[in-house]
Amino acid sequence: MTVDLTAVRGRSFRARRPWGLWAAVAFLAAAALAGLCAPLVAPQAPGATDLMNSLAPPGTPGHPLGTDSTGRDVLSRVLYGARLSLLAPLGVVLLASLLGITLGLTAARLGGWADIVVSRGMDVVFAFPGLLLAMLVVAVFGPGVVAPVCALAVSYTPFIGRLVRNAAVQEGARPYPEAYRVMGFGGLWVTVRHLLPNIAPMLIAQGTLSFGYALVDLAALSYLGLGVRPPAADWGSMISQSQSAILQGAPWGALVPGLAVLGTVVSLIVVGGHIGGSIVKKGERT
Amino acid sequence: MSAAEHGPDDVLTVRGLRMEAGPPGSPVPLLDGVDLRVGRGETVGLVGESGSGKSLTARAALGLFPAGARVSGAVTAAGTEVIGADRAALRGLRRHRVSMVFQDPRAAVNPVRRVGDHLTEALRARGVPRREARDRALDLLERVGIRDPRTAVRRFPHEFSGGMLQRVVIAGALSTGPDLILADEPTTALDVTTQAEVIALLDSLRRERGTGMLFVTHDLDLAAAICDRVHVMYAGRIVEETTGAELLSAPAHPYTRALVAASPSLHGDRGAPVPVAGRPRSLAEAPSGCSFRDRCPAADDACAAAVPAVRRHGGAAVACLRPAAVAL
Repeated sequence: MTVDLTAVRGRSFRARRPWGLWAAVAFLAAAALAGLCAPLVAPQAPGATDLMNSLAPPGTPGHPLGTDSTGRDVLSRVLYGARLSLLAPLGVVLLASLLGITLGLTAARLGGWADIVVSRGMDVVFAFPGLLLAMLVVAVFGPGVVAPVCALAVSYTPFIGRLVRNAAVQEGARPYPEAYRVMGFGGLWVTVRHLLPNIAPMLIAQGTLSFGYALVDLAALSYLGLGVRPPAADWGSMISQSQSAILQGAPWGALVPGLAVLGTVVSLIVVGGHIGGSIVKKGERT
Repeated sequence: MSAAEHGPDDVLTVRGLRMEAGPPGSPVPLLDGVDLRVGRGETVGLVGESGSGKSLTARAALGLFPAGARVSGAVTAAGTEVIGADRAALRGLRRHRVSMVFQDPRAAVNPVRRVGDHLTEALRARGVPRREARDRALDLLERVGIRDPRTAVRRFPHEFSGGMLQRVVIAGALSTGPDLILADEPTTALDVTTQAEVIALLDSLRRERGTGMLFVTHDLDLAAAICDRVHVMYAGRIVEETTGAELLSAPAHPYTRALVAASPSLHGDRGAPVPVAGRPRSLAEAPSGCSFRDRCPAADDACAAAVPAVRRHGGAAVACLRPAAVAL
């Protein structure tokens, strides 16, 4: 039985307040909310051009964060851009997790030749740069959102798959999976119902970090003109379209979406690191 | 051996169980001619040192053999012939008829799922509706002496002490109403007071429900206290079958006598514990004939000739040419 220690725990024992964590969570929540409520909060339509006010500096009435070279409102575009910029990496992580979990658990459960084939196959994909693969896929299927997302998902699969495979092998060697097999449950049931929940925290940590990497990779693809096609915009394509304006003394068109990418990725790393760290602490305790 | 005289009420009969592992060219023998039976409502002990094959024998009752092992003989658990049984038969046997209680409760329960999920999982898999399974789980927790079952089902395994968690595991083992419980050193990981409680619990449940129990342990006093009959194993063979009462008072096989002399006692006339000379052998490295003969003070050339046949000695059945020849 556990004893409630909070009653006796003095001030000195309280954990340091993880304000960085809360700031990161708040930033991510704000970004998600921005994407969700863009039509309600954006001052302008994202594609509305206002050529009279092109390259207006931040603080211009009606354009709180300024405008780009065709007079589109930067704030509105960043808010709308949050949708694709957050959904596409989410797609990458979900697809990569689905593939990685399936392959990793298959390798761990079957072992032997299946394990060797799956693991070495993942190593091969691992060795191939993800961006290069995405560019190849785009070259074949044309730019857009779906092709880069699928390509990046494939190249992220080994990160998840190797983690799942190793964790499942390790977890499977503990006595409880056998105890459930003794209760008459099949190997597949035990793997999915019992092993998977035990490695889930690790997966969440890895998924959070992968989300950040995917966001940067997709932004890079958009920046290269291989991602989303105008008039749709994500943060990467906004940076790309505004870089010439930087030389004209109007950096805000690239700076604002750039800061959005930076803030999101840093926040994700902070959150992912915290989840990973708490797993380590939990592991030390048991 | 009386194991051969099995009755229709037996929940477990093992006859001539042989097991070997390794490549067919150079097999590693693990078990040789193990005979035992467990009747309905009976507690049968299986004692011996580590590596003597106790756990292998207990697991064989569930059709759990080491990977690549070759098995022969007959194992009938709850009416099912286990050796050569197909997947569906084994699954049914494990789900409905035979349960196992492990040494370390903390290792035998999925740490991230709630106790209630653990208890209802087997029932749900059988098709018992959710509410009914939950009520059964509450009932079982009450039965095994967990206070406030309603909050207990919401807890995680780490919120329980070892003894309490072993009660939960026992409740889980009972959830399907099994005919046979295999208890593999169920109290070794617990401290002495909880040990007594868990033993008393297992014994009362057995009495109440008429479940047969195979109790694997290396604690002779415990085996003598709770078992109707005790089988002593050495190097993959059963060397003596005796009653729980006579295990300590009249051990016959030199190995049993050595074990009794080696276990410390708080009361009675036994002196200081006497260690058994030599180290335990596995069947693979045992000498020819009687596998205990290289550690046995009474052994001579006759013991090397063949594995001694089982003979009666008082209330016991002993595989020894000179039972009770060694002084206690």
